[in-house]
Amino acid sequence: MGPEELSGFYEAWGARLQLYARQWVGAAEAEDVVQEVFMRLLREHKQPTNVKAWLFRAVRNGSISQVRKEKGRRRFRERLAEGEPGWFEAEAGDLIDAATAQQLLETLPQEQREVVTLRIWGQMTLKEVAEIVGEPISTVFSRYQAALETMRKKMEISCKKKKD
Amino acid sequence: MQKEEGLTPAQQELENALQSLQPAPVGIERDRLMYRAGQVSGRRRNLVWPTVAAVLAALLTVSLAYRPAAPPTETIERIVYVPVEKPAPMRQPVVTAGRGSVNQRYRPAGNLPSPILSGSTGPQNIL
Repeated sequence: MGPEELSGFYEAWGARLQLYARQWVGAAEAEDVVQEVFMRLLREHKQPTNVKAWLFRAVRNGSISQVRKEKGRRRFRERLAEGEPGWFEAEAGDLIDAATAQQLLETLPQEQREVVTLRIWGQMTLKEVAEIVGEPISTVFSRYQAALETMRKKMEISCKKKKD
Repeated sequence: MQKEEGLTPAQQELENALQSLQPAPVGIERDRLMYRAGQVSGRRRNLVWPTVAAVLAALLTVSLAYRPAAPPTETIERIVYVPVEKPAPMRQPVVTAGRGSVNQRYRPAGNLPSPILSGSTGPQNIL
């Protein structure tokens, strides 16, 4: 794979991969992980059959090993409190507030949040998600459904509170 | 993205709302990434010849160090009889007594005057 092809993949998936990495690590570490993954892709002698799945799997492995390295130093919640940049870019056409969505996602258990991120922003089928997280499709679907239901209920509660 | 069956309408609505959000742009500068990509690409190309040379050098070293010893030479002693032809006996010139009686075969070639055959009348002592 040449630098031009790499550039194409970066344009298409860079932001989504960074969002996925941020499910485990902070913004700065996520950048490093994603950059390193693209370098690894360049060094691969044979291009992976499914480049997108390869990239997400590599980012997952890189982020988890990064977490292990800094385990005990900084936890997910601590990083959130440090005022890191948001996960989403707020735009006029958004159907949901970007900050609200991030808050809702942050409250989800790690395994549910990962499935939602891969499914929605990784634009993957449940089968692809199952391959990356290494769980059966039924388990992945249950997590996805549970995550959406939790978020929906929290949004309802939030709306009611605002009305009151 | 393909719609997921088994979700309630409310869940699907939330799914659609989430899909409308775009991830924050990457913090990595594209130019920096491409610069690193160029470095990696260049390094990979430059490694070909050094690698080949190193492998060949290693092979040469190993082959010199572990060269199989030549089989020991065995000396076999035996007597060989070689037929040798006996050289023919040398012919002695035949000399007869008397004047000018030297055999014509021993006449020297050419027109050189022979002291034997020069026809001198003095006492001849050719032996």
